[in-house]
Amino acid sequence: MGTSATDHADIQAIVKGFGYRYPVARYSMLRLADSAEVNQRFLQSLPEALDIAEIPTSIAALASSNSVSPDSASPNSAITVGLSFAGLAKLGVSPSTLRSFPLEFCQGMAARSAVNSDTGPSAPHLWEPFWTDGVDVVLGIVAGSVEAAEQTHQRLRAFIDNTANERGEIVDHIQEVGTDHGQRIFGPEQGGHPRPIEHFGFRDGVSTTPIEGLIDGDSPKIKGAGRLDHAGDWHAIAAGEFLYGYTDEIGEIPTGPQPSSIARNGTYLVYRKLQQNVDVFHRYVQQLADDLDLDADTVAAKIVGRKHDGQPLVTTNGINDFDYSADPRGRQCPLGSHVRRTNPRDSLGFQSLLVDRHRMARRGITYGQPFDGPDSGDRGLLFLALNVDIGRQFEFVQREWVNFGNDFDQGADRDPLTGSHEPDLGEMTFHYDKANPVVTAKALPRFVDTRGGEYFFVPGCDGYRRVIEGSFGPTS
Amino acid sequence: MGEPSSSSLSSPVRSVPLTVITPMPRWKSRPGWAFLTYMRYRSKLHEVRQLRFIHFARWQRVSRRSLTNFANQPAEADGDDLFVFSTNFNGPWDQYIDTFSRVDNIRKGIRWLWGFSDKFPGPTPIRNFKSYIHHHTYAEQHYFDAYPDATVRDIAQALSVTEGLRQFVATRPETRSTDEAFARNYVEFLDTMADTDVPTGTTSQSFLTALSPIESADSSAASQQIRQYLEGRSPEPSPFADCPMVHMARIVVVDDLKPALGNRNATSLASRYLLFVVELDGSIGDFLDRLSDSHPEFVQAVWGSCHGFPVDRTGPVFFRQYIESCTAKPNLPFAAFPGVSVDQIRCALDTRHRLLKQVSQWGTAPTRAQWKHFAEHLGERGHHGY
Repeated sequence: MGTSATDHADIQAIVKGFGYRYPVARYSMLRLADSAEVNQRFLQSLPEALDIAEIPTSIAALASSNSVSPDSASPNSAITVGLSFAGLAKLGVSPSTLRSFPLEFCQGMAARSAVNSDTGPSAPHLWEPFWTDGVDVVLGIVAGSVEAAEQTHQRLRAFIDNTANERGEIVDHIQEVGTDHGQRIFGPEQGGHPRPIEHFGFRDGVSTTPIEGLIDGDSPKIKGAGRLDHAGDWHAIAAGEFLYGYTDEIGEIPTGPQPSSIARNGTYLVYRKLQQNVDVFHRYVQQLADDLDLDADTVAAKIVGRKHDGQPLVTTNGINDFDYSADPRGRQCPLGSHVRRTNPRDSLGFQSLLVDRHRMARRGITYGQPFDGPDSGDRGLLFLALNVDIGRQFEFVQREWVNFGNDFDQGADRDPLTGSHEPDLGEMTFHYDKANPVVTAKALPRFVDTRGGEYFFVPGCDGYRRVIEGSFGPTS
Repeated sequence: MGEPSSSSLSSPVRSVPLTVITPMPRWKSRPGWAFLTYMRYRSKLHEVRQLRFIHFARWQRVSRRSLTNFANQPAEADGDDLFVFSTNFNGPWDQYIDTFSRVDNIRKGIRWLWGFSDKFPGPTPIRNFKSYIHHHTYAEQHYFDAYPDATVRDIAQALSVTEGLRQFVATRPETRSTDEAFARNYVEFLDTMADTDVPTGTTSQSFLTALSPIESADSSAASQQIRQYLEGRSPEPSPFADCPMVHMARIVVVDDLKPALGNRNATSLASRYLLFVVELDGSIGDFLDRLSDSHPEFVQAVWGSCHGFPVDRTGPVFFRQYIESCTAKPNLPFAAFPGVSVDQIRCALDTRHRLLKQVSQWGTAPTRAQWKHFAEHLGERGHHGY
């Protein structure tokens, strides 16, 4: 097996990413029935019900649908399917296969709340209740327009209703227990193009983890986003960091669930609904700037680690082609800033060797209306990240880099932007300029709260087909 | 403790001990010892230092024959020697091992260092290396860390800031003609304070490794009793807290030398052993005297049922002589801050904490009078002669 993801007809399209041709997403959370047979039949009938040839949509299928209508404003909907541990069980997967999944996935995100610092206002008992009651399947509908997404979503809802009606008085039926509406938001144009932003007002999606086999080997997007070698060259990250069945960054094929046919081309989706307290963020930054007579935009940039337009704070060859070798002490880009913590590049020494094994492929999308003044609107990020080892990748970053600061010489300080700060204890110390070499942001409030989430297995298309055909059942 | 306990997952612990003892076949033992000796004088273990998450590490060959020290102790038959690796590090176990095998020179080092151990699979595939280390890991029954809240990075920063502050204080900035002139100097100091190199210490550090045989009449009961005593007293402050020269210390009950997986012909140890590993400032003898002076009941409870322990003669001299007779010579020690004493580390951590708190409270530059008061306060504490 190589380090390059080759099986594009089997890998779900989300692994490669949908790009900005698909700025709308509906994530539908389903609770399955108790009967494996009912559940299997439901998922088997889904392509016909939604009028979509293939579910889930593979990378190859997405590419061919785009090539049919490359200029279409509204490409067809594409579907991602993720199954939680409970979902796999309800689809009749045998106990021995279930037991072969990794612990973090089996336990689920709510049970891992201590590891992920989902505490205080982010504690699972305060999440949208359906998450802790149990979500078995996430169906992601991505589309080119709200109408297209809505149409597919309505078909899904009608199909669920029909299935329930068919079963008449029987209580055991499939339900949609929650829906998240993802929609990209755009800031001022840059270079003649509207640029996606996130709700705090910073440009989004500047750096995307390049995966070997899913990106052109000489793509300029690899620079600054991949793995940095001794010679200062950047490379895509080995596919085995994201997908079962391929070699990873240390030259090994990750051990996955058994039999290998359920694992191959599969990955884990970390799904988190993160509410952004935009008003709180703006007011905090303004207050700090006023108190110390600093520029508010610069203070915000120091907290985030990039400027609002996405430009890095260190000298750079392009918006993303940079490392931190010229700024080892964080005078330009603070060591404790959000961007530097979540992708430290070469900050920890040894090029990016100490970082490469903790990378994720982020596939998130904003939800809610853009902020346009003090209000209590619900907005934030549907944080979606793919990785092959939840413990080594997502949870490690969450525990060591977001909610602890040692690797960045920040003691126990947390990520100023997304850390789960304890009341009055959140702090960040940074170098502002020569006249203000030590600025301390004190009593950082929580700018982000977790509203729910789960770990989902995103199987390869063939693995999924076998799951819904009952091929991994106890008697198979 | 090998892998961090589940409770530690939620709050990253600052220092984690790891004790690994692997069997070293006799024919490899002498070249292994020669290699360690060579490394001790030739290698600076630069890469290990650069990782900045290891406080101490030690690789040590203990010849099985050298374990027989007392007349009434069952002689150790010929069999594999012991290769003892002990370390204290920050962060999760997996990250530690993972990192070790990713960095070229460290990977080579691992290949050589454990290459003399039985059935060592090499640093890669990493899962084989991890399971080898895991298989040969021994749980610590007692662990002491003199600065439990500080990581290697915290200490490096504290030493650097403290040295920068020392240099600044020495210029007596408060004697500048105006507050404005002082403020300029103060801001310059803040701008560069974290850039000062970590000073090299001058304290001589010692590394104790002692293996004491546990009485054989019923060594299983005796070793169980020691375990229960040590684990049962864990909420109590460690007796090493009263020995100001101790950086880190651990006690491990070794029931036997675990044979490498797949080796069916391994010879068991004739006794169970008590492994005592300490990193300290100054002389080992002074430390042992201090321990037995301040905590005779601890010494008696832990070592009292060991062969050769001077049951009838109490007092520091005898304990010191006893442990010295069980001591294995150090082979390859690593310290993140060679020559820097426990006291210097604690003072630096305290100084950095107080400085940053004060800087944050002041907001802008303090007046000369405020600074003078702060600097004098540092002096009053009597640390480092500010």
